[in-house]
Amino acid sequence: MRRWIAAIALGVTLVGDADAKKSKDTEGVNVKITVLDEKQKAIPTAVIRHPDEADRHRVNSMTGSWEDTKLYMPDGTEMIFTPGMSVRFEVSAPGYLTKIIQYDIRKRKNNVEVNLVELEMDDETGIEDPMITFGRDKPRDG
Amino acid sequence: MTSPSPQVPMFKTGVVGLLGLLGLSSVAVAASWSDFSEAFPALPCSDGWAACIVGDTVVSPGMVLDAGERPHPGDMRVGFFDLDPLAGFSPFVSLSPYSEEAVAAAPPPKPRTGGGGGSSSRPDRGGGTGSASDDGGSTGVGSGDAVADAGTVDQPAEEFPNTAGIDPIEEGAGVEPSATDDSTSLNPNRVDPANIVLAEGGGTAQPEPTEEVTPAPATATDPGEPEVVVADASVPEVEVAPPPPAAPKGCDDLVALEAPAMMGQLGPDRRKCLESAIGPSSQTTKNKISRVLIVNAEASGDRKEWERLMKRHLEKIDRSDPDLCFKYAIHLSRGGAGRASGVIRWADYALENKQQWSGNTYKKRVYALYKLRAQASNKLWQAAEKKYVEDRNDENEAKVGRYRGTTKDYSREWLDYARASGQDQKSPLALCVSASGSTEFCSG
Repeated sequence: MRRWIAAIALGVTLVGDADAKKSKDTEGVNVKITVLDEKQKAIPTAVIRHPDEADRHRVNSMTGSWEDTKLYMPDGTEMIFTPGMSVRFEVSAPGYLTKIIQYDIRKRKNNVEVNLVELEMDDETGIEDPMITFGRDKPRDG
Repeated sequence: MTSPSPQVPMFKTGVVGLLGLLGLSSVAVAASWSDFSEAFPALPCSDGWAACIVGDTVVSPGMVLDAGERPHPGDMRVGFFDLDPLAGFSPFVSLSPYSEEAVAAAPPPKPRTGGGGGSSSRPDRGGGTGSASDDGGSTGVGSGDAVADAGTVDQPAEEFPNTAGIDPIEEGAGVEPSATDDSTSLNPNRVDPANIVLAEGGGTAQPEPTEEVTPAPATATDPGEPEVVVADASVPEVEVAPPPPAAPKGCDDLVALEAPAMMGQLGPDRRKCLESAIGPSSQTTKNKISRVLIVNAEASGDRKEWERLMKRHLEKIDRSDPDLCFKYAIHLSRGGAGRASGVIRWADYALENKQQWSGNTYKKRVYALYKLRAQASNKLWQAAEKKYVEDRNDENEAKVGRYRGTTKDYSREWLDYARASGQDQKSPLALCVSASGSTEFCSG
């Protein structure tokens, strides 16, 4: 009787260990990107995108951050974040200069802060206001 | 003691002779005043007078100064050093206006008995009729020339009896050819009477001198003395400078309204007149009237009225002028996202007619239009994003997607044109990448 109990306990232990390893391989490690402006304030409208990805990921409008363990590629495959992997992200927001980052994923604490610079849209620089003509058929002295 | 050398007197004689020769030669080569007649013209004024005022400059036989205070002859038209116009530049100067009261002539003296004869005693030297009407102040329409109208100054009573039907003032001012007549004082730039040359008719006549006036007193003539003959001393008709053009009262002459419109001085009456005329007019006239009103509003700084007029012009009258569409788009771009749709709309209309521009104007304005459109779309996109963050629903999400797409397209067009025309690509590239989220979309 004691032998049977010991064998079952060993079997359960081994199965649990194997399942844990399988879950880690399928989910990947968590990567968190926080998008801030020059004043270290979260940009609520920022989006993050992998160059090979079709969709853009919106950040949390309160915290300005996005996190995930994997990405879905257009061909249906998954890109699972694993330690040692180097991933490229394009971080953008309306009214800000887009920034492209390359990140090497670690085992833990994958927290990345990205600061975006505001776009300087000089509205009327170099624009000359045209004169309004009177629409005469021929010149006055002609 | 030594005796003087015999060569010394010879030397002295030579020196004296040389000095004398030099003195004589200097007198011989000395210039007289007549040699400077070109520098001091007797009649420098364009109308033939010896002195006049042109603007603020007194032109006289002396010299006039140019802008650099360099003297020039009074009749010189342009400066020798800088070719800038001098006071005598225009050959079409009219006589200076007479601003003083006409001087009433003294009543003609009573006829003297036994004095000098009647009208038949007047020498009719020019073949004129010699009638009083020929003398009497006719302004250049006399039967003969000035010489023909000449009369004697010592017999005014016989020549022009003061009949009851003639107003003495009129007669005196306009007819009496007395040498004491103040006719020459009509020109405020009066100079020495000896230099005055009387011309026939009014000031418009050519200043061909006929005879000079001898300023002899009218009553001091002795019948026994030779008569002094003068030219027709009728009052030269003063050509008064035309008054400044009066402001047109109506609003039919749009060309005349252009100048006040450019200064923003149309005034409420004329604006009202134009507004009422714009309704029933043809489309072409509407276009012209509307432009006058727009220019006036712009010059007067009334931006609200200007915007109203521009909107009406583009919406209801004509939108084929890319200048107007461009100008209105610039104006709207100064507003926020609420006006961004208008910016895109009028920038599109201007781009439709961009072929009306050419050269550098084309390059600059087309670039500016692409820029205005992309920036306006960017404003709309940002506003939509903010709204979506606050209220995440499908409608707002669709708006974000739409405006981001237009921003992407417009910024890409802006970037393409910047590349094609060799203009600044930094801003369009940044906006393109921001909107597309991809550098690949915007590259090459």
